[in-house]
Amino acid sequence: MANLIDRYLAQVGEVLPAKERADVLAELRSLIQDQLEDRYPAPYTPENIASVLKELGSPSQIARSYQPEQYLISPKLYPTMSLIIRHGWILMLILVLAWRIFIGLIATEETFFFNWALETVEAILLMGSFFSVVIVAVFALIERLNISLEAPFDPFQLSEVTDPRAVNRVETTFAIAFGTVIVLGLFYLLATDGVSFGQSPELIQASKEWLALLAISGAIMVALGLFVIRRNRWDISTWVLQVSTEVFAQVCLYFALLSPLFQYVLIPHPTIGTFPLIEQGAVIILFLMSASTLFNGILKLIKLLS
Amino acid sequence: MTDVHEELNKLRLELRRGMIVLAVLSQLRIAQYGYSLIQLLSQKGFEIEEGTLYPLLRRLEKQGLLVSEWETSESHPRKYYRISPAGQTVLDTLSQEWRDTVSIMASLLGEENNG
Repeated sequence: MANLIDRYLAQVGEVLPAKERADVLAELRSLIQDQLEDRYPAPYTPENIASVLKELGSPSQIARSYQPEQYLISPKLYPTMSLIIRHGWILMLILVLAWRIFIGLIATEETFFFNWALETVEAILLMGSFFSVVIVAVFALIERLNISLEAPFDPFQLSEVTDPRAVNRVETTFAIAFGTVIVLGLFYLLATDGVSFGQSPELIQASKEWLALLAISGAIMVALGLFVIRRNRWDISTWVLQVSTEVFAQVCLYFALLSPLFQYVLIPHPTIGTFPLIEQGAVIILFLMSASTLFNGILKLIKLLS
Repeated sequence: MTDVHEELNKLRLELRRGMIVLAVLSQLRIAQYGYSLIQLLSQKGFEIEEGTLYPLLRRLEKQGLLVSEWETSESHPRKYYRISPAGQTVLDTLSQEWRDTVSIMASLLGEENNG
């Protein structure tokens, strides 16, 4: 008799928190004994005990009833996380496909299309999985720390329909999530082999100093994104910081990746190296990126000042 | 029809969920152990499962609405619960709100039946 009840309680106890285990199990044992006394004459057969235990429910079921509802990601955060992951997969697909096509075009050795396609699918799955894991981890951390992504609602603080201070929450949340993945990727590269350009054995290592500055700029933009989403508005100081950090990040990107990519990979390439303006390519890209950022930045700054 | 039946069961559970705390607190002016409380509530027409009641008793105790002590002089040890002063205050407040709600619902349902 004791064996069946002991076995039941032992399995319940495995799932209970340690500090409550003894008391809960003692109470359950008392309940089982009350039910046996109420329904059956002593001595109790294994069938009597089994009947009582079956009515109580499985050990995992009864243990679960003692535990509060817990979420890795609560229903409050789940829709936002789900949206980011869906958009992220689409973006990863586009970026990895573009990168793989680019690599295929500049490759000096012929590659079978099937092998290229297989490696592309593998890269998409790898990057998409890494992105998903990071996003889930970030949101799980937000959940555990009970961080609110929303300030208390004040109707008078609602932005005007065309208010330049308005924060596009979906866009900003996505930028935060994507930026986190990029920053983590950069820190990983810094911690390992970094980035190399050119053909073996004449590989050129990208500047780790500029990579580090790029990673730090990214981290600043992620932190700033979290700050403005909490406040639910831009102001002059946050906008100036955003634009200047973005331009600085573009300069770091130029020195860390763009310039060496053009210098050691694209310009020496027998086909791509003959394209017009290829030698100024890196500078042109930097100019276009920075000009676009500064133009939009100044436009919005004018609206914020007026 | 199965969907309606399932939905009805879910709504029935939601309706009961709020009542269970009030029902339990109302019967613990005199100390009871879990099984005796189940039988007492059942005699008065309120059915509740062990898997629902026992965790609830622990939760209410953690919230300070109940106090408990183990009684070891009987055939086997039993954990007795009774309402605390804080629990009594909560019970008084919830009871009044319940009466007000019942009155409002009676009016609403009366309008529904007549309308």
